[in-house]
Amino acid sequence: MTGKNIPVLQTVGLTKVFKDFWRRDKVEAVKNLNLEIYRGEVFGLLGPNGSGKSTAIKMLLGLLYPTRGQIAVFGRAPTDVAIKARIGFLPEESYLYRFLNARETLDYYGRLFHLPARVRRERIEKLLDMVGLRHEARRRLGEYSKGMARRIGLAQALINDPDFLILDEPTAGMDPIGTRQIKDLIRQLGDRGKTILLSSHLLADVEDVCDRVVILYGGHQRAAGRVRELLSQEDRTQIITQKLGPQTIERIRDLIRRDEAKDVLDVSSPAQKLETIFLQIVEEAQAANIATSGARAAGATPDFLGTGDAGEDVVTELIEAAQTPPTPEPEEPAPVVPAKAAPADDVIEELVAEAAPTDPALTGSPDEEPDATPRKQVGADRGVIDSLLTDDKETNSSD
Amino acid sequence: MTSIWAVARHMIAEAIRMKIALFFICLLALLIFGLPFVARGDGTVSGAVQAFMTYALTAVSFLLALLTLFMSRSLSDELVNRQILILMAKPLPRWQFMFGKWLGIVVFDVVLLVIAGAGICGMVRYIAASEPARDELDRQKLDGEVLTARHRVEAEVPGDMFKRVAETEFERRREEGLYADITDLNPDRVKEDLRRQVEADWRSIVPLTYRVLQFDNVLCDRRADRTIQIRYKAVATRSPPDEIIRSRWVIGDPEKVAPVVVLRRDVHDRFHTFSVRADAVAEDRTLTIRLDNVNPYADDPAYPREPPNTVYSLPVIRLDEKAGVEVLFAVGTFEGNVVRVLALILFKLMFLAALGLLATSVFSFPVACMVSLTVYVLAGARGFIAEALLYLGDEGAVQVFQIVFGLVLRVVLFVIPDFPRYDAVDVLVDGRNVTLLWVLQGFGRLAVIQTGVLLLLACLLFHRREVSEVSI
Ligand SMILES: Nc1ncnc2c1ncn2[C@@H]1O[C@H](COP(=O)(O)OP(=O)(O)OP(=O)(O)O)[C@@H](O)[C@H]1O
Ligand SMILES: [Mg+2]
Repeated sequence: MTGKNIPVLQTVGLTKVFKDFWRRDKVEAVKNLNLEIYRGEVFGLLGPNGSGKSTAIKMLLGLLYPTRGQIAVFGRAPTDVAIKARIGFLPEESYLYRFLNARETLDYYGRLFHLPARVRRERIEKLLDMVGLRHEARRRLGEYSKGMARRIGLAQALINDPDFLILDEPTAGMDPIGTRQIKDLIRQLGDRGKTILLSSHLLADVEDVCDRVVILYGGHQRAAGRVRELLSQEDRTQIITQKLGPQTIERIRDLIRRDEAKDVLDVSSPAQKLETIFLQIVEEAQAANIATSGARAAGATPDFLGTGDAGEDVVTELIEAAQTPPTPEPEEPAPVVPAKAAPADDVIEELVAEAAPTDPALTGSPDEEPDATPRKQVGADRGVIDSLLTDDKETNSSD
Repeated sequence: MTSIWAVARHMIAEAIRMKIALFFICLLALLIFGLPFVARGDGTVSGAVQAFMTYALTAVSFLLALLTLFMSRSLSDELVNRQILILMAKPLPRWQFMFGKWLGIVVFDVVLLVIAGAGICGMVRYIAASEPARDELDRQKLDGEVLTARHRVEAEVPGDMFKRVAETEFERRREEGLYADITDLNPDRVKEDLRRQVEADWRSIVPLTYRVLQFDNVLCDRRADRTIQIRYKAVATRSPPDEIIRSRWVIGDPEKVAPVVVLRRDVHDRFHTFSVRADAVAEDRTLTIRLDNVNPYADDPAYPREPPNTVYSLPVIRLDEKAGVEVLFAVGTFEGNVVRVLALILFKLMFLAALGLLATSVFSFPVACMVSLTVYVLAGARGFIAEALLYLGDEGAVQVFQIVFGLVLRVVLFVIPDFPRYDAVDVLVDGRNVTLLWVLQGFGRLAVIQTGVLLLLACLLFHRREVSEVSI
């Protein structure tokens, strides 16, 4: 099996240029991408729409051929069919067969992995349980809602108990339960020693589960590092108490002003997340056994996923990994700088204006030097992260 | 192998879910149960059965050909709707995927062909059993000449003898000094002329003479209750006023068997078939037939106004085409023959399945359809193309055009299979045996070589293709 030092995935200078009918360059979707993902890592590929996440993933699977650069998956070329037995893939949309029902779909993919009939049957039932669609398994997928189809897509990606799971926007079209469940699943699979590459433009999806992330923008790698380091605002302090009276607050303000010579920036009651409320309501409904022909309560993660060899040693590996970072060259912690005004605003504006990454205006923007290291641009990247978080909130509230 | 079969199964499931099979079977039922009431042939049972078989089989093979071409829609859908992305992320080699698709189409075709074959055979037997035969001859014809698989043996044309005679005649004439004053004598040319003359003499049976025809390898069942058929066509060189040829046939070598004598009055320049006892064939599997150019009815009071047996009142009987006479005998069953015909149809479908997939892996579906339909039509008309090539002149101002056109035609001829060559429906309807050799040739050429080349090409093209590139 893969030694500890051979990355599950490695790309060097990966570049994809889409050409038009006359072989002229049309779109530079991915530019000079260098990735290294090690066993047991949960790796996030972030970026706004059209930033090249899906294109990168398709190249890893041999569905697109790179224009330049190298890819090694389990040390082999992506076109090598043998490695695909160890990969699970959920594409950005659930490209499933409308004329098959859920069971037949999973059975078909199971057959392609040469799984014996008994194993297939077992896994199919467990996966259907897991995605909560066992009761709807007889219906054709053409009748399924988008989210239901997505769940089958996820089940399909797990049928072979993959060592390397590639999820392209797994939460797209999922309800909050599904979203939460996918996060839990990713966490659990990560704990069981699976390597997971997931792409998303919803940072909230990623922040809870990913060990490391790369942020793409217009095909360029703009930031890379450990999530906690990218997210922590070490220049701020938050104190949460029971509700306080106005006098007390004034006294605290005075105290802080006197002792630290700093101002209190904001005083408010902590808002409960919409997600939490939604979850509560649905969970109550499920407890009351209210009928639905949609997705049901999520089941347990099947135990076949990652049992066997990836057992104890995974735990030890994880412990080791916690002590020493899995990457050979440790990532520089993200410098704690307050967001630099100008470039960040630029990026936000661009995002708000929904500028396509191929927009020629972007190519000329100041932070597009091809050799720029992620470190140099942390300020700008913070802007991207913030915008992603905003994006996330908007999406959630509009759901 | 499991992957290939999984893909094939999937393909079949799709075809069934898309109600393709249902539609086809309905159409087939309409055809099989409706046709006998429309196509009645010439009023005889044998004619009705023949007409039904011709129409039903032609329709089935045409419908299945179209169906097969359209089935590659499945691959096109997978590319356009991107299911291919999930598939190609599985440990499924692309050639196995392509081959699986092909296998799926072919298996589906086999199933439909079996259903169609069973339906057609059933209906034929039903018509044969339920329709009243017009007369005993009609019934005999149905059983002996339609619902059977007969082998055909042609009379030996003694080519060597013609040559020998021509040679001796040439020598004789030269010794006589006939060619003495010809300076640029071309002996080969003269001998060839002589040979043709000898052959023409042999083929012409002058009044009140006879000709003996020899058949070898008549490997029929020789029991006395079996029959063999004699099929012949003769031309009267000086056509009698009533266009009828009178003749007397002695069938069987009198030194080996008890010969059968048959008297005939037949319209000239048409094929005629009559049956004789199978024990006229000698033990060594040879059959000797003596054809007398006499009028056996000359003195028969039942036939008044018959020409008398004189050199002047009877025509010269000429046997054209090979020897003009052939012997037919059953070597197989009608059902076995149907199976072989269906096999030949299947080989064409195998080719078309590969053609459809190849076209779809290059073009969008509508274009692919046009391409494969064009090839299908060209394959059916291959004979005409070959002929066109013969008639292509090389004179005049448009010579360049003709050369280019000729080249294109040659390429087309090379690439496109010859479908009519493997069309066995006429042979089946004629009650002749569709030989295993023919089927094997069809298998080798159509199903293995030509299909294989197309599939290989499809695999290669598909292998190089980025499956995620936009296909609209
Ligand atoms: N097959 C293709 N042909 C031409 N251009 C393409 C093709 N696929 C992607 N692109 C272009 O490449 C760029 C990156 O697309 P990609 O799908 O990788 O973005 P993404 O990061 O996955 O976006 P999203 O978040 O919307 O899924 C886009 O500009 C897109 O238009
Ligand atoms: Mg995408």
